[in-house]
Amino acid sequence: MLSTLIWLPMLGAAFIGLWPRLLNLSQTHWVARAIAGLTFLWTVVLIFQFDFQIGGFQFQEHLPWIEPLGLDYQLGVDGLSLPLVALNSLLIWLVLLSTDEQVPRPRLFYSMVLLLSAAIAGAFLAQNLLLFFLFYELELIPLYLLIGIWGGVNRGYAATKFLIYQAISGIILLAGFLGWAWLSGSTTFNYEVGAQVLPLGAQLVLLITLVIGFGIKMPLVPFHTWLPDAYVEASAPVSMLLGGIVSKLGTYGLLRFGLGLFPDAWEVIAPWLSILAVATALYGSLVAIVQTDIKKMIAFSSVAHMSYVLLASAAANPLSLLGAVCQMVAHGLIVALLFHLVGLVETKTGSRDLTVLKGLLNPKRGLPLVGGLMIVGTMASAGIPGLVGFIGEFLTFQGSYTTFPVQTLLCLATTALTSVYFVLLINRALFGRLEGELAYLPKVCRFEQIPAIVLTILIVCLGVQPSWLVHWSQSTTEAMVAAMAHQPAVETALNSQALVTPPA
Amino acid sequence: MTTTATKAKLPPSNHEFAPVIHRLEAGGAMLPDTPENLMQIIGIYKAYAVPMDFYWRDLLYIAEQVFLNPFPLFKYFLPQDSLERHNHYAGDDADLRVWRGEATAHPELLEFIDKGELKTKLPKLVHHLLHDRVNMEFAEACMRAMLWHRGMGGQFDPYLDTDEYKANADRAIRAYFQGNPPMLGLYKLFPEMFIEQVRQLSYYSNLGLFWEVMAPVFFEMSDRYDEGDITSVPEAMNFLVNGIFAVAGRPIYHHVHIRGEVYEIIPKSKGFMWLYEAALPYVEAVFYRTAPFRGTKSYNAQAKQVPEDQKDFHYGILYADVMPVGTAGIPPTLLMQDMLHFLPPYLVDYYRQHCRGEDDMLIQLGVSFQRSMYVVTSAVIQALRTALLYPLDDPNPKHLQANRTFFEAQLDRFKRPEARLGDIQSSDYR
Amino acid sequence: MEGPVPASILRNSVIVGAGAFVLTKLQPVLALSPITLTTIVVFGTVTALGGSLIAIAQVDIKRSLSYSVSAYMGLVFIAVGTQYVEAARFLLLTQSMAMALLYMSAGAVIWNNISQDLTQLGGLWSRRPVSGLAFAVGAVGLIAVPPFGSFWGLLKLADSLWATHPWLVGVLLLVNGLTAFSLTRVFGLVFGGQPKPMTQRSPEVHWPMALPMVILTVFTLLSPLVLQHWSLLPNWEVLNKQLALLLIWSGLLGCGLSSVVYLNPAWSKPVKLPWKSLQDLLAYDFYIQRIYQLSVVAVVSYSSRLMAWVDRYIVDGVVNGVGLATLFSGQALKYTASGQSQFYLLTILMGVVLVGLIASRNFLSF
Repeated sequence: MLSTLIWLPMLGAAFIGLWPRLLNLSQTHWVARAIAGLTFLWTVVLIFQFDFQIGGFQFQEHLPWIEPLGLDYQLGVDGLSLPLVALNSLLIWLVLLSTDEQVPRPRLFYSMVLLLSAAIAGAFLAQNLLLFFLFYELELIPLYLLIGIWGGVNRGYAATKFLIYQAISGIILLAGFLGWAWLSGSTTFNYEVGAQVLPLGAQLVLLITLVIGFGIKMPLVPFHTWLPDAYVEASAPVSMLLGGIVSKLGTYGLLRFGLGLFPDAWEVIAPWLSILAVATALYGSLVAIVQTDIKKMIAFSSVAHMSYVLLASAAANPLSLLGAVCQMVAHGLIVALLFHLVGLVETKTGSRDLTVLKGLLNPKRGLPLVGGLMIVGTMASAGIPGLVGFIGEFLTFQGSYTTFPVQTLLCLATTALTSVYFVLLINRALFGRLEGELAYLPKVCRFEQIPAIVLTILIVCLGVQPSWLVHWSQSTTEAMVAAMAHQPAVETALNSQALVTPPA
Repeated sequence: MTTTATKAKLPPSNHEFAPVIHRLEAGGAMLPDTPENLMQIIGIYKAYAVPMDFYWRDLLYIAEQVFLNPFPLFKYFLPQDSLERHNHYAGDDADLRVWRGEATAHPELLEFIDKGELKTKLPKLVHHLLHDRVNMEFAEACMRAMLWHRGMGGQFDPYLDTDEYKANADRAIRAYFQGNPPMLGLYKLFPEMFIEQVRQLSYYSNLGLFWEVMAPVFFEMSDRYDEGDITSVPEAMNFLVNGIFAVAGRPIYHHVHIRGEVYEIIPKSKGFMWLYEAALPYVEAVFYRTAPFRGTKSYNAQAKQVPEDQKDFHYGILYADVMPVGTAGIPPTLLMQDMLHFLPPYLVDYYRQHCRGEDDMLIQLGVSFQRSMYVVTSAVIQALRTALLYPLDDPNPKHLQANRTFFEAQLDRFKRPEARLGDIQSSDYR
Repeated sequence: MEGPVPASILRNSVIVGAGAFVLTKLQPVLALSPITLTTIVVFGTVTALGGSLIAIAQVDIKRSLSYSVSAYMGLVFIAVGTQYVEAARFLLLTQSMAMALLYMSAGAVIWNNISQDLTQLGGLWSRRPVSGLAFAVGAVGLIAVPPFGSFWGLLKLADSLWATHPWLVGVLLLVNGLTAFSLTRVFGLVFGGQPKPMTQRSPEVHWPMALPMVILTVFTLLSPLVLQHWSLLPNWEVLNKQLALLLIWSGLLGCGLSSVVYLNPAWSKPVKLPWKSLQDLLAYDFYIQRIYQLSVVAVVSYSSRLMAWVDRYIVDGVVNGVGLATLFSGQALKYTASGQSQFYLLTILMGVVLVGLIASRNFLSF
C-alpha cells in the first residue's frame, strides 16, 4: 500500500531520467504528470481506506533489510503523517501540472521532482529512524539540483548554502538518533518498538540535538539564513515545494521524534521552545515588513508561520497538537499558493519588486485572477475566518493559550504584523494605476491557473469545513498526548496496542 | 506646395508638441497620418455610429415623448415610430444627404435590438435585464456632463434661465399632468424641481440633435473608406470639417409631444445653431471635462481632491486612462461594450493580433477610440481656425503667426500630465 | 469615505451597527471587569464628544456625516459600559435608519453635483426638495425630536443614566446638541443659501435612486408607529419628563444656533473660527492619523528595519563571515556553472553512503 507512494515516483524518476530516448519531450511531460497524478490518486484511495478512529499506525509494512544495522524497511502512516503525505502528493502533482513545457533540461527536472516526491513520502512514512534519515538525506539531492540548476541569478550560492545547512542538520540528527539507540540499548531503530525511557539528563541532551537538527529544517531563528536565499533563488515550482512541504519535515520530525521519544525532556524545555517560537515569529514578521521582493516577504512570513507550529508542539495538549497539524497543512497550502502566484507574476511582468509592480488587479490588462487569488492567499495567511489559515491559527492559539498564555498573545500580535506586510504587498502590487510596460502583460493561460484554483478551493473548503481536516488527526494527536501523560508502561502498552491493530 | 511655403515663412515652434503643431499647420490632424491609424479611427467611427444611431433616437424619444414621466421604466425601449424616424441627414428625404444609406435605424442595430449579444431572440425585457442591450446610460452620462458643466459659450444654456423658457416649460408641464392632481399639486409646491427636470430634458434634446448629425457622418466616412475614397487621416479630418460646416446652422430645439399636440419649449425660431450650441459644448464637456469616475479617482473633499473650478476638470476621453476600461461603474466601459458589438471585421482581426486578442479588446478599442476622438477634436480645431482665423496657405506671416498662436493655445490644454496626446503619437500605445 | 455611495449607506448604518451589536452581545463578558466597563465609558465619551465636534469642522459631506456616526457609536459604547444594553440596541436601530436616509440624500446630491465639498454646494432646496426633505427627515430622526426614533432611544438612555451616572446625561445632551448643530449646518450649506457654480444645474435624481429614498423617508416618519407595533416604545408614564424636555431643548438649541449661522445669508461663509489651530485640529480629525503615524506605525517600521539589518549583517553576516558558506559558494558556483551537477549528485550520494558506513561501523563495534 504505502510503498506505492515511494516507489511509483521513484521508478518514474528512473524511467524518465535514465532512458531518455524512450520518450520525446512532450511525452515526458505527460508521463511525469501522469505518474504524479497516479500517486495523488493513490493517496486519495489511502485516505478513503484510512480508519480515522485509530490513533496508531496503519497500513504498516515491514521488510527486514540490514538487520545488523537495525535498518528495516518499515513503513506506517498515522493521523500525523497522513495529512502531510497527502499534501506532498498534491503539491507534487500541482507543480508538475504548472510546469512549463519549455523548461530547460526537462527530463532531469521531472525526474528530480519525482525523486523528491518519493524521498519526502518516504520520510513521512518511515517508521525506522535510520530509514527516516536515509530519506531525509535523499531529499537533499534533488532539491540541491533543483535550486542549483533551475534557480535565479544567485542559484549557486543559494543551493550551496542550502546544502551545507541541510547536511549539518542531517549529521546532527544522525548523532541524535544514534545516541538514542545506544543509550536506550535498543537493537533496532524502530522508534515504536525500541521505546525505553532514558534518564532525564540524557533525554535533554538528545532532545536539544534534535531541536537543532530539525530547527535548521523548519527553520528556527537563528538557523534560518539559508531559507530566504533558497526560497528566493529557487524557481517558483521549487519554492512551492520547499515552503509547502519540505519545511514540514522539520516540524514533523520535532513532533514525531522530539515529542515522541523524549516526553520528559520535552516538558522541561517546552517553555524555552515556546519562547524560541515567539522570537522566530516576531523576527520573521518584522523582517518581512521591510522586504520589497515579494518572494522574500513570503519567505520570512513562512519563517514566522512555521514557528506557530513549534508553539503548538511545545504546548503539547490535544488541542494544540491538532492545531500544529492543521497549521502545517494550512501553511503548506497557503505558501504553495502564494509562491505559485508570485511565480506567475514574475513570468508575466519579469519582476517581483514591490517598488515596480502596480495595478495588477486591472480587469483586462492586469492579472486579475492572479491578483484576486493573491488576496485570498494573503487573507488566509493572516488568519481571516472562513479560510484554512484561520483554522490552523485558531486551534494553535486556543490550544497553546492554556499552557503558555504570554507567548501565545505575543504570537497573536505577530499575526497582526502578517496583515501589515500583506496589506503592504496588496496595496503596492495590486492597486493603483497600470502604466508603462505593465499595461502590456501577456495573458495567463488556463494551465497556469489550475494549481492556483485547486489550492484556493482547498483553502476555502477546509476553512469552511475544518472538520474534514481535523478529523484525520484527532485520534492520533490525542493518543500522542496520552502517551506523554502516562509514563512508561502505558506508553508501551499503547504502542503495542497500536502495533497489533490490523491494517485497515 | 502650401506646406513648404508655410514652413519657409515661420521658424519652428518651441512648443512641447511642436511636431503636432507643424502637422496642424500643414493641414493635418493631431494623430499621425498612418494607414494603421486610419484603419483604426474609421473602424471605430463605424462601430460608434451604430449605437449612436440608437442614442440619438432614444434621447429624442425621452425628450419629446417620455418627458416628465416620474417612473420611466421603459424609456430605453424604443417604440417602432422612433426606429423608423427619418434621420435628417440620410435617406432620400434628407435635408442634406450626408450618408447615402437609409434614414431609418441601421440594420445592424435592429438586429442587435432583436437578438442581442446572445444571438437569440428573447423578449425585450429579458435582454434588458440581462444587460444585453445598448447602454443608454452612457448617452445620459454625456448629457449630464453637458448639463452640469454649462457656461461653455453659446446662448442655449443662458436661455434656460429666462422667463420665456420657464413659461414655455410651465405650459408643457401643465398639459402633461392634466388630470393628474397629485402631480399638479406637487408642481405647485415645488415648481423649480419640475422646471429643472425640463432643463435636463432640453439637454436630452440638444444631445440627440447633435448625434443625429454625427451618426450619418460617421457611416458615410466608413463607406467611403471601404470604397477607397478616404485614404489618409487628414482626408478623414477634412471630411469632418466639411461636415461640420455643412450642418453648422442646423437648429437646436426642444419640442414635446403631448397627446398629439406639440409644445415648443425651445422653438426652432430661437435660431440656436448646431455648431455653437451643441457641437462645441459637447466637445468641451465630454472630450475635455466630464467628471472623475468613482473608483478610479480619489474624492476626499477635505484633502482637496475635487478640483475647485469646473473648468479645471480634465477627465474626458482626451485625458482618460483607458486601462481601467472593463471596470464596473465607469461610463467608458459602457461605450466600449456598445462598440464591441459593431466592430467591422478588419478591426476585429487587427485586435486579435495584438496584446491579448479577444481578452482585452475593450481596452484596445478604447485606445482606438481615443485616437479617433483626437481626430474629431482636430477637426473642431481646424474648423474653428477656418471660422475665426486665416487659411493655412495665407501669404501674410502675421496671419500665419496668429494661426500658430491659436494652435499653441489649443495644445496647451494637453500639457497636463494625464493628457494622452503624447501617447497617441506612437503606435505602441494600444 | 472614498467608497461609493451605496457602500457608504450600508457601512454607516448596518455594518457599523453590526459591530456595535456584537459589543452589546459581549456585554455580559465585559461586565466581569469593572475596569473594562470604565474604559469603555471613557472611550465612548471621548468618541461621542470628539466625533460630534469633528463633524462640525468637516467640509466633505460624507466625512461630516460619518463623524456623527462615530459620535452615536460613542453613545452606544457609553450605554454598553454602563450596562444599559437595551438602550444601546434601541439607539443602534433608530440611528441606523436615520443615518441610512441621510447618506441616501447625500448620495443623491453628490450624484448630480459631482462635488462632495460643502463649500462648493448650496441653494438646492427649491430644485431638490425630495433630497432635501429626506435629509431633513433623517436629521430629525437622528437627533432627539419627538416623536421620532432616536428621541426614544436617547431618552431611554438618558433616563437610565440619570439615576447612576448623571454626568453622562450631560454628555448625552451635549452630543445631541452638537449633532443637531452639525446636521443643520450640512443642511444649510447644501440646501440653503445661493447656488454655487457646481449647483447651478441640479435636477432631482432619477427614480431608481429617488424611490428608495422616499420609502425610507416614509419609514423614518412612521418610526414611532413601527416601534409601538413592536412594543419597543418606553412607557411614557414612568419616564422622566424633565429629561425629555432637556433633550428636546438641547436639540433645538443646536439647530437654532446653527440656523443663525448657516441659514443666514448675512453670515459670511466659509465660517472661520477665531482660533485657526482649533479649527484645523477638528478638521483634521485631532491629527489622529499623524499620531498613529508617529506611534504605532513608527515603532513597527523602525523595529522591522532594525531586524532586517540584524538579519542581513549580523545573522547572515556571521554565517558568511565564518567562511564556510563563502568558501563553498565560490566553488559551487564554478561547478554548477560548468554544468557538472552530475558530479555533485555523485558527491552527495557518496556522502550519504559514507555517513551510513560510519554509523554502521560504530554500531557494529558497539
